[in-house]
Amino acid sequence: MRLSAMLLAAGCSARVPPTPPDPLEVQRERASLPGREQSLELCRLATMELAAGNADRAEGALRQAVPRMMSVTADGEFAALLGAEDRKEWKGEPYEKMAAYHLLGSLLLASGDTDNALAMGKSAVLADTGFRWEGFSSDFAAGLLLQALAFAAEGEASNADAALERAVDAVWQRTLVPLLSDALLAFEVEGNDGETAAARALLLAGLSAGVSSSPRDPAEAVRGALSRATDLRAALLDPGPPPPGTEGIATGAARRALDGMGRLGQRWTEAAEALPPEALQPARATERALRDALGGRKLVVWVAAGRGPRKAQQGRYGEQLVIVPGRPGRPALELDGTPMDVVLVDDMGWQATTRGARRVDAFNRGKAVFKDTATALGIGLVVAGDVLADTARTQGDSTAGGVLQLVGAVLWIAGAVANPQADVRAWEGVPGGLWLAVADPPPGPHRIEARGRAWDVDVPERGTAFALVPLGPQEEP
Amino acid sequence: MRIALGLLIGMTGCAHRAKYVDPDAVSKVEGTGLEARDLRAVAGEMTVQLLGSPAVAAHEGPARVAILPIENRTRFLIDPEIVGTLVSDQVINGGGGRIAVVNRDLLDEILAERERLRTGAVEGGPVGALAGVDIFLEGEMRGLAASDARNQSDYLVVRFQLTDVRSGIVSWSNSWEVKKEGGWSVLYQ
Repeated sequence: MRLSAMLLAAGCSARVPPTPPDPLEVQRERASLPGREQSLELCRLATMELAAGNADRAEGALRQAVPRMMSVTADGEFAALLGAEDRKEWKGEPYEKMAAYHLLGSLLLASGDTDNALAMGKSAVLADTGFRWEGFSSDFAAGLLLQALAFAAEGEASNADAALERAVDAVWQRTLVPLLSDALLAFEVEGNDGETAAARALLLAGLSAGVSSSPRDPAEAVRGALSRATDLRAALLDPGPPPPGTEGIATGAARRALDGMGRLGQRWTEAAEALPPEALQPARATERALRDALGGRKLVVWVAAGRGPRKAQQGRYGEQLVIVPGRPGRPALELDGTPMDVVLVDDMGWQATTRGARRVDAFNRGKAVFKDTATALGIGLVVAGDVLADTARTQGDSTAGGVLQLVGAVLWIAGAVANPQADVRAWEGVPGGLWLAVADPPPGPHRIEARGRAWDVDVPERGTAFALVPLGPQEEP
Repeated sequence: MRIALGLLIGMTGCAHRAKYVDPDAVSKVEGTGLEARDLRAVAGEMTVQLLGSPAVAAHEGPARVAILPIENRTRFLIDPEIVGTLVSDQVINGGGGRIAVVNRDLLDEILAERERLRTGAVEGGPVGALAGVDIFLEGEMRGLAASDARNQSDYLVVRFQLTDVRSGIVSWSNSWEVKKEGGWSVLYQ
């Protein structure tokens, strides 16, 4: 008893514990320090500033980070070549760049700097494209819509309309590519399995071109894919290097693949015409929302919600970068107490796993993830390899598919092989999804609410008010 | 030991100190967009061309020029006002009086002060008409970008033009262009 009393007395005389530092101040300090992770710390700071309601400070942080992320010069490259990859200066994977550029562009648009908002929309799309030389278009609809909104704010209606149509194309493109890819893989046709596999690989290699030329018409996209596949086959049979996406397909199999392409093409066209309406419904809803946003509405709200993609190391030496998609979430938003309709414009998990030069995630899943750039090196090979390997395995011979997969994998992880461990430093503030809400409230002050938080917005007499609602990944269950 | 430790701390401390560099020097953070030296080169060349243009040379007395906001249509974050400011400085200070820059940014303040002068609220005497504008100077930056996983290329054009306010005719125009290519190292591909 006496001992307890003494301890209690001693406790009472103890020092008052120091006040824990303000996390925002700590992050501001970290982001101010030069170093190979300064861009990452600035992006993290932007996330925290937005969460604290400091849009101006978030914009300032991103204004510092973005030029570094765009720069082609970097510190620490030699050290990273010799050691762990994370010793290089952090610039972000393509999906992180897209998120940073889009976020900054949205903030700039809301603050009236439409010139630079437009610039960020263009950069976001370019970061996604990657293979523009080959003529493949970006499917980052959020970046294209940002361009359209900036053009509209500048009074350039024709440019705004053109950007909007590209955004709509992007939505349909990324909807159709996986649907048609799955459709082609779902049925069997009569004929030699090896030749059919080669035919299927050629058709898949042509899919991106077909969808790019007719992104809103599944059957026409398949016909375009067939046409492109025919061209690819002819190019493959010509002397010289094989066209991108067809490396590893044996010339003999390609020569005999024409009949198989015809049979597959017919079934594929039928399947495209019979795509279930519910599979196309999300794209239709997104298209309506995009057109609504450009239709002279008074309020356009970007909502960044959901859990963003995550990076992980994989492989014997942790040499492979694996990007694990997050979840776009579904935000519930109210404008002055009335629920708003929100539509998903972009799933950043999709963007993260299908873009950039290291699409190791698709490889590791062992299943074709196929989209617009699929005929470019790497992914096209692995997709084709999957098809051949799956077919050949049933015959007890997986050599052809194995070679294709191996070549594709080598291309994919060429950078990672030189470095013992893949760089998994990540900006955790990338949202899982970019959502859009539009409304026509009367001019004056209004309040947007979500998850117990509020954002005030002033709707002008003329023109459109833009708002950004950052719900943050940490708030997703 | 203490001296060595002190030296080490001192060296570490020095590493993060900011330093002055030549605005035309190659920066540690460079992309394929417009850098400081590009903007300075644009402003310098455009000023020389502008001062030597027939539209300005043929003008009786100083040509009264209003510099309009310069548009950025590139994919890069740029403060376009930098170029406008540099051009304005150079034509005022190095133009030998051939160009008079009309300031419309302060129009509200100027009108308010003129009203105070007119009513005698402040001393300064009678006021005449404000200077009109003979020529509008417009500028825009445009770009064409292409990239793949390894390379980045940007073609950038900065264009200026003079429009005569009386005729509406573009009396002079000139472009400054540059193409830059950069490669991502294997670590960033």
